[in-house]
Amino acid sequence: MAKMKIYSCLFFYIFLFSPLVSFSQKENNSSLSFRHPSYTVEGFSEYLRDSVKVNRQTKSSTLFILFKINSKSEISEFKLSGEMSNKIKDDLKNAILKSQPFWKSNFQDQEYKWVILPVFLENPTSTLPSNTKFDGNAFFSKMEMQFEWLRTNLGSNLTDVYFSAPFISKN
Amino acid sequence: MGNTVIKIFSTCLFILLTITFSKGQNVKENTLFFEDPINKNNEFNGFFSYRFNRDYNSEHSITLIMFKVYNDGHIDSIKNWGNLDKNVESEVYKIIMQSEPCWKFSSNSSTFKFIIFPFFNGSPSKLSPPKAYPLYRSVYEQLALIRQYVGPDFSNIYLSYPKKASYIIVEE
Repeated sequence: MAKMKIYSCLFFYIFLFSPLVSFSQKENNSSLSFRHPSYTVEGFSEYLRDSVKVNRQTKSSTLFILFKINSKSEISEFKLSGEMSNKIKDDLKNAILKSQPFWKSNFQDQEYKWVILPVFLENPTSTLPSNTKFDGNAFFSKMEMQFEWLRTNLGSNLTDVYFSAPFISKN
Repeated sequence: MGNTVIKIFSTCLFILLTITFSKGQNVKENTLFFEDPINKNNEFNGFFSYRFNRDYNSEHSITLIMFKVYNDGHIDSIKNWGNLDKNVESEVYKIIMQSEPCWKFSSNSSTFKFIIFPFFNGSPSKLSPPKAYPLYRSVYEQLALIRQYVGPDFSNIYLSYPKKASYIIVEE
């Protein structure tokens, strides 16, 4: 009789809590946040601007960088939508890898997010020297290809994506 | 004794199924699809390009157009932070509204999604350096404003393939 009571209680609790557990998991969206003591919350692009110095002579380029962050804040799968000089690429990659401890998430073990970082090398608000030629045609068609690249790499529904404010070089 | 073993086994099985079911729901997400009733292979950019009257002489532009699609299919809050010519803008918005019946959600769990539609217009061959640089600045500003408007979490965003304009060069 006592055993029957125990089983009845056990089944009652399972029936009571299983829909609640399912519901709460469905509503619990995974979140990722960049929190560095020296910068504003989500100030990842500001952190990069202070970490990466770009030479004024650097060829102007615009591209997207993608990288993955897992539940342990480990960064992997560094991808670029276009070309840039090896020096800047290495500097940016190192700064991104050093940012690992500042990424906070509520991810379960297997969860991750892609971070999209738009990169603009050369400050567009600066005055260009009169002899500098900006190749508008190349910029236009490269931007088309880069948005296409982003869509192909991430798919249409950006469920697992963190979008960073654009990085713009500091001269 | 045998009865107790069966009870323990069935209890364990039930707990296992409950955990599996819960995990399954965690993975499940509300996906947005675009279905063109005329051409099943069409993505939104294909639907759009078929209806958009391209003007080869219009001013070149790169515009990130945003709009909201709701669960019941209706569209609102169409906006952009680019420098799109007003006539082109009204034509673009009209075609976006025509796409209302084509958007389908996989479930009813979210009320809406934002669409980001990169729209390239005009002939890039006309882009001289003085005109190109403001365009560069405009793309930067638009991305920064989208980030400000939506925030860093893009889980509620649908990214469309871009509507391109560069193939105009190939055609000439």
